[in-house]
Amino acid sequence: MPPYSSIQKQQIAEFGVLTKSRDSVATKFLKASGWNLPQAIDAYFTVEAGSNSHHVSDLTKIFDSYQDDSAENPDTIGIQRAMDFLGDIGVQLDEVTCLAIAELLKSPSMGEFTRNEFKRGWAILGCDTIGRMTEEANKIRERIPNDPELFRRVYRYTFLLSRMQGQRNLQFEIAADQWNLFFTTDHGGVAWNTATTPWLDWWIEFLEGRGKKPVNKDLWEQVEVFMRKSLEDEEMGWWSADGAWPGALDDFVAFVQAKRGKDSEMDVE
Amino acid sequence: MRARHKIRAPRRGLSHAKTDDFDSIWDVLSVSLNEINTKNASTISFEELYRHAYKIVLMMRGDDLYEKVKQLEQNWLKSNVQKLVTESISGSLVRAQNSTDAQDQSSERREAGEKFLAALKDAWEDHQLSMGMVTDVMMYMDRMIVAGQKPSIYATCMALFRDHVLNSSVRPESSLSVTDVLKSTILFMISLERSGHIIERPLIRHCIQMLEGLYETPTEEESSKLYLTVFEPALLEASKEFYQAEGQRLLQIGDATTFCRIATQRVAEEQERCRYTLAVTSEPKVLELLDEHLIRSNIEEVVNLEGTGVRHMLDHDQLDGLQNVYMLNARVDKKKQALTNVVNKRIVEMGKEINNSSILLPQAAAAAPSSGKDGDGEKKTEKGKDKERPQNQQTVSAIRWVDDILALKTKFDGVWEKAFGNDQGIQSSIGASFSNFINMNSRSSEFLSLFFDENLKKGIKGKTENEVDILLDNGIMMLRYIKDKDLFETYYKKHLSRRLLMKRSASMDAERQMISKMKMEVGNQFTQRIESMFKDMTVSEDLTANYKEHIARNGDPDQKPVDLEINVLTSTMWPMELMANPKDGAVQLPCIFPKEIDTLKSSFERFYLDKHSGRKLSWQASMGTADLRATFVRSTGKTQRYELNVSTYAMVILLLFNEIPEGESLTFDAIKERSRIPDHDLIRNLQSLAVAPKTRVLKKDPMSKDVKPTDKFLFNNDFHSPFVKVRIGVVSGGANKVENQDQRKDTEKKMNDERGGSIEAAIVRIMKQRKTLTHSQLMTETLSQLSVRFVPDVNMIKRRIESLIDREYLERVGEEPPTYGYVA
Repeated sequence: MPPYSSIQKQQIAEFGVLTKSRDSVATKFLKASGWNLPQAIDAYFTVEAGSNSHHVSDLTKIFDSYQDDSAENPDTIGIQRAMDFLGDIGVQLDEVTCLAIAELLKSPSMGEFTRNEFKRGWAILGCDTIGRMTEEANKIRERIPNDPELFRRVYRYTFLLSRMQGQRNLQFEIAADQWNLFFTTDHGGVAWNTATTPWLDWWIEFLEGRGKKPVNKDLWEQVEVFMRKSLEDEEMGWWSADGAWPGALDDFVAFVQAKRGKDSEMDVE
Repeated sequence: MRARHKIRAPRRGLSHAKTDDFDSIWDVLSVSLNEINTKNASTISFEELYRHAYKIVLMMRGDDLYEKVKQLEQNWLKSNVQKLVTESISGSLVRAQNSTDAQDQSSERREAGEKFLAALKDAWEDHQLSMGMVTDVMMYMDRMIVAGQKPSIYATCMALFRDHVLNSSVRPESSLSVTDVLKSTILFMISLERSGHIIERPLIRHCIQMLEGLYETPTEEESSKLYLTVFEPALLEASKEFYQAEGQRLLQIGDATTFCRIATQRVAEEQERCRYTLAVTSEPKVLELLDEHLIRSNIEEVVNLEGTGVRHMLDHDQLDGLQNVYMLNARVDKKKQALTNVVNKRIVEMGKEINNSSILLPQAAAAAPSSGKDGDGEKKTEKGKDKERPQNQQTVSAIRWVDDILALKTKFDGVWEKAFGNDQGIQSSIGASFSNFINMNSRSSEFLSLFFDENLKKGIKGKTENEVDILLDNGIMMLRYIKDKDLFETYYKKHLSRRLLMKRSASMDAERQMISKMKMEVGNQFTQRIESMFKDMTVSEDLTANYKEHIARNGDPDQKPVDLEINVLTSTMWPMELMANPKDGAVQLPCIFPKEIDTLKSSFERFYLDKHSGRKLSWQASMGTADLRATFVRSTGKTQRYELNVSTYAMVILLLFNEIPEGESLTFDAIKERSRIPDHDLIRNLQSLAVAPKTRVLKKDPMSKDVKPTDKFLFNNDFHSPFVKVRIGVVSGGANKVENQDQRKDTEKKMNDERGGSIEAAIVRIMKQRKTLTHSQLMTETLSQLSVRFVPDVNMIKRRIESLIDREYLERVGEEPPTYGYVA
């Protein structure tokens, strides 16, 4: 075996643990992916998924046990069984973690899992039993409010997940529900509130006032960026009219400022 | 006297002359030198003296000689000259030292001063003259001994004059030196001259020359001239004080014209004074002080003086005053900021007045009876004219708006040329000001297009080519100022299409000229569509001719042909909203043409589609005209024929009456049903056929101005007109005039849609080339790309970017700073 750096050795070892494959297989995939562990694992499962490899047979078993219509859709878990599965790993349907699991397993739509993605997703995390999946789900639950990157990934994936079939934009009602999920702590999100400003309430109020228009992808994504910014500095020192914010957010800034002006006047009185 | 004599080479034999000869030779020399000092030089022989001095030098006693001469001259200056000079200083002059007020005992002080200066001047000139001679005599000594070690005897003696005459005390016990008195006296003279007195300039000039000829140090550096060390600082100090006071004084007068005139004079005076009375080297320094204290610190205030400042000058065309202001401002500020600001402000003010009057005018005319009393004769006639043509009021005022602005521009061009020395900076700022107020008028594009329309229809008739050229150039110049050129294009196309289709253009040459001018000014893209409108017209002419030939060859000889003159227009190039009914959103079924016309129509369609297969012709009845020959049967039985020139719709209406029995009437609804002419056009055409007083070809029952669905119409056999050919215009159709509110909103909406497209196209073009770009860069580039055509709203660009992101032409690729990427 050629000499590998300690990091590389570690990666080989991890790969081995996750995929239950030999070191030589691990190095092959890691080299091909330029020593990027997640990519290498992705590649491994893409190759292995087709064959009924015994390395992932545990996951296959689990997948098959939730599979409801083996004749018609052998590679899909439908909504009913998906809910059972989520229940079994201790994930509520109305919490952010549920969406994170959907992101992890790349659900094509709400409450639907595909075989390949299911196996790939869990294999990356090294889970091959319900017990370990439950553990992992708990970890994710803890990470979401504290890991902005994960939060953003899940948040953005949610847009694709929540769109109605054949629509480009998200209906206002759905968007509002999801915001309520993501931007409060009740369901494991991040609270979009600061000392002086109930941002989330105002944002919903603002959009309602504009006629509940559907939310497009850009606006959806920028709202999250905007949220982070507003939590950093609630006086909105980072905002400028020349900025690249979507028009709706520019208008929202004016809305917030007007509202604050009114409130402070009321305080004076 | 000063002429050098030829010097013979000395004989060697003299070199061993005896030492004790020195005293005897010096005795001779000293007597002669005293003779020179007392101006008795004519009695002595230069050659002899020279030889004596020469001898002494050969005796190796040159140094002694140098000292002796120096001593002699010093004694002479001390005992005689100094006394002479100090005595010329009168007591009053000494006392006046501390008084700075020029008017104070001026004549007395002046007299005493002149006496003193004259004495000093004489003493100096005598000294110079004498020393010149002494130098000549001592030439050999200078050359042999002094060279390189000591200053020349001349320079030494000059220094003696400085030390023992100029620096001597005026009175034995006084600390005041002659120089002090000299200084204050000259400054006094200058202040006299500044307050308008005539002074003895040559005298002062001589004294200044003396100061320039003397140095502080024996080495005589330029910078150690007494003029520079003693006099100039005092001069500058005095000038500074004077101009500070002068500035205040002139400001208090409160008249900008006077201020500028006097200041300009002062500049000239100081130049002259420095050149002819004082020293040229002082000129820039004095002028700098003048600029600083008289002009720079006051110009702003002067320019803005109420009632007399630049504004007043502009209003009263005081070109001289303006020129003075310009010159003064240019002296102290390359950008002439003070002047430019006022000029710009005034232009915008006047421009706003013009803008306002263009809005107010229609109202004023409407209220003419009440407001008539304050108008002068000219205004009254104009108002009378307006009343005659109420529907054109606004159009008239639009054209007047342009004329007024052009007049204003001419005025300021004149001022610029005559008073502001064709200054480039001012020119561009004047331009910016015009652009500023022109764009304040939201209808500027429309007004300008109407101006062109009016002139191309009527205005240029009877004008020479040159005059037309100037007229168009003026209009183009205004176009340059208009920011929203796309809006102008829209209006121009609309107005042009009417001119072309209704053949209202006075000269096609002028039209073409106009286009080439526009092309030069705003570019090819701008005129492309306008040019293709012209092309359509030319092609249509050929088409008409070809069709006629075609009919002549193949047509049915039995049927009486109807002449057809056709214009085939490319629908994307022409403002189609003109032709369709703007208010009607619903699909309008095509108008039903009479049988003859319908045959003609299909015949032409066959002919045309045969040539150009795959095209679609749609007939625009609202834009055409028709010539009819109509026969009216009088109640007496006589018949009268008229040739009627009517709109296509009117023709359709009239021909309906051919189909019904004589004397029967048609209701509005019946006409509508049989012709399918849109309501709006039908009403207007019926009004012009039955209501307009001179062209009542139809009778209407009941007779009223409005047209109701139940109204009946009847062919009017009693129609009478003094002319055989009668042109029946369509009520409030045809003519190009100012849009009403609805039309305007419509145009604006269309404009915005079109702009949205242009903006998106620009963004995509830019991003395609650059791949990734920050938000602010993309904004800047987009703005600059579009600025030729219009100034886009920043929010509009942002919305377009959003929309492009939404449609996945762009994506956000960075947050700090916000950056977009192009999605291929």
